[in-house]
Amino acid sequence: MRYIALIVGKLLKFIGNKLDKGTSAPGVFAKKIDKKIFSRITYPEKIVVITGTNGKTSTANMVAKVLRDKGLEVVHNTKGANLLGGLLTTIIDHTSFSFRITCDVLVLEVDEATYPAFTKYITPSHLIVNNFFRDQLDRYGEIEVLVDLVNSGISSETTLILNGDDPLVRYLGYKNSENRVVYFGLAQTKYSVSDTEQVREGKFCPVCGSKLNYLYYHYSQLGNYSCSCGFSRPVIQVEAYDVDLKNKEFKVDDMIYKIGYDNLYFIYNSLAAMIIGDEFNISRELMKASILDFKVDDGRMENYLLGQNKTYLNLVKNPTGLNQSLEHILRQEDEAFNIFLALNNLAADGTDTSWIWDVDFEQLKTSNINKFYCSGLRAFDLAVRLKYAFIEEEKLIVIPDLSACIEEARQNNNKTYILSTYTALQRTRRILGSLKENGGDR
Amino acid sequence: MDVLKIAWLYPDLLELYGDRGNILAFRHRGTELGLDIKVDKFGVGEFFEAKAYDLVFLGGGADQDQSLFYNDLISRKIDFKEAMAAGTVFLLICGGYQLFGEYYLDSNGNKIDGLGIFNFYTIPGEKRSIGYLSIETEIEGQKMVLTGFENHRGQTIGVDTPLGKVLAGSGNMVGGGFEGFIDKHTIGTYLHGPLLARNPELTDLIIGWMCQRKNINADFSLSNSSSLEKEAKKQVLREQGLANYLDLVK
Repeated sequence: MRYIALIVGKLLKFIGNKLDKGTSAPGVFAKKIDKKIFSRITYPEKIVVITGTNGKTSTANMVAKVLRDKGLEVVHNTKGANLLGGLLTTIIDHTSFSFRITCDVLVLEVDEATYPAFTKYITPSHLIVNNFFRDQLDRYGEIEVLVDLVNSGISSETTLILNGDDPLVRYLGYKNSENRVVYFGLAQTKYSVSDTEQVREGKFCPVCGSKLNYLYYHYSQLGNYSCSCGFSRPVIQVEAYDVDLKNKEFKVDDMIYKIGYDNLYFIYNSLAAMIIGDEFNISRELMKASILDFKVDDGRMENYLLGQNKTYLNLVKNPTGLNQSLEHILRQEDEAFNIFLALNNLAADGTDTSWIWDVDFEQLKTSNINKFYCSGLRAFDLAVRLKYAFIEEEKLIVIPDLSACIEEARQNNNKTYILSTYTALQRTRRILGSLKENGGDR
Repeated sequence: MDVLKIAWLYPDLLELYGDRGNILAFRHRGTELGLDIKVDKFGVGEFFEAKAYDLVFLGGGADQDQSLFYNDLISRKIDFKEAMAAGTVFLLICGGYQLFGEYYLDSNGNKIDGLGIFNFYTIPGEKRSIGYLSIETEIEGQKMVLTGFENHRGQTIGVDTPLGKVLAGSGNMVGGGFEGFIDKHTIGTYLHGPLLARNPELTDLIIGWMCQRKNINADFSLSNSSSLEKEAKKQVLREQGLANYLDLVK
């Protein structure tokens, strides 16, 4: 039976590849045929799992790169295949007929809510948790529920690699104090603030419910916190300091690391990957090169031309991610530019668009933005949000049809930043690719 | 400039789904009307007198968080009743709405007493109602269609004076056909998030009530257009198969 399950799974995966779809069906079918198939497989000793709200894909990619640059063989799930079906498909795809995954390390990004279901089959040697932000409340429910879900899947054998700057992530270390825990975080930077209007999770102590005191915030609820009950930011083993986004560098343990991107979350991702590097006895010198060399892909500031100008396409899916993108754009731009927002409300985007009201669009009202293009199925929701941030209505161009809105922005003489939710991103990418200036014929 | 004062209760706890959009809507519309909207935030243990305010606002929150402000809220009952009698407007969303009733049963079967100012009560439903919710209402002779998003498990029963009739979605009770609660100048509703930004005619009605309390004459005809809000609302109505209600979006 198990051979049939494996063959059917692999066959479906093969057909799926030909058709360019179907990332979850092969794994699901294999499990239907043989319920225990995933317990029969011999996994590599080292399994690194990455979960959390933002930065799973980038962190998983960076971990894989750090390991591969050392010469280790890594099996790694493709982007987006982070729900149970997709994970099982990745495993079936890489399982030999001796029921073995032959590689040095399995690196998997796993959806937060899927983690306990996943660990029924597989116990990770290492679990990285980046952050917990509010995201798709219509799908996941309340954030505390999500933290408890991840916690319920943690085995005492798993080494936890946690962002100590996030009280909700830190809570996992508190709840699993018997586990080996390694924390990463950022020391106070010149970008830290003593107060923030950005809506935050974890304003209250996850242990006792009192309001947390903060010495400073990096962004959202990430920062240096403590509670009268004793719960606080832990001792950080791998801590970045002297962070300089202009020169794109930071320090850890007296060594300077150069990075290709000027944002704080990229540094968090790098720190998590460095801890994995330490675990595999990879030298920091080698990691330094891997980190500098690392390119984020797919919806993370993709580069295109639009008319005469450069344009950047970035995926946004929740208030914290969008706030970070806006801050990043504002940091680099002195000249006039445009913001293009594409908001869809299909299942993969989250059907409730209320989250745009938790975004700090107010920070845009004094900047030198020429036009705001609002597009996608919920273009008018965006326009209303911007209006209520006191942005002049003359600056708002509202065209729900993506193609027509991009054509309109193409006529503008300024650089445009495009921020898009998931389902609108794929269409936008196709449209941009079809333009003459990007080698297409339109 | 005439001043209107808003008390926003537990903003740190009750702000789950972009409820601060309602505060932004008051600020924006107030500016258009030449009114100075002052917003004071009050957390647990912070003294305030509801009757000194033109409006008290409570948003929606996570179930687990309710224990963090429960005792504080209950201690304010007498002040709330006096404020209501003196014309203070109350706008209550989701969890805030439920707690003004007799009680609610949480999903573990625990009975939690509400303020008991109104005689409805809330029990857990079989599953959460999640999705767009559109209702038809008539307040003080003005017909309106209100749209928004609901995400709640509680089923609120015993509402004699609902805010409106459900056109699409669940509202107070799955299959019950009615949504929310209205009594004089108190509104309770499951329409979470930026309710007022989505429904500017309701914003004007509520600002009108606040002005009435202060004897302020605001000229609502002086308004800027709300064409963006209308288009956003029409989009939701079309998606819900309610195209025959588009005429009510004025």
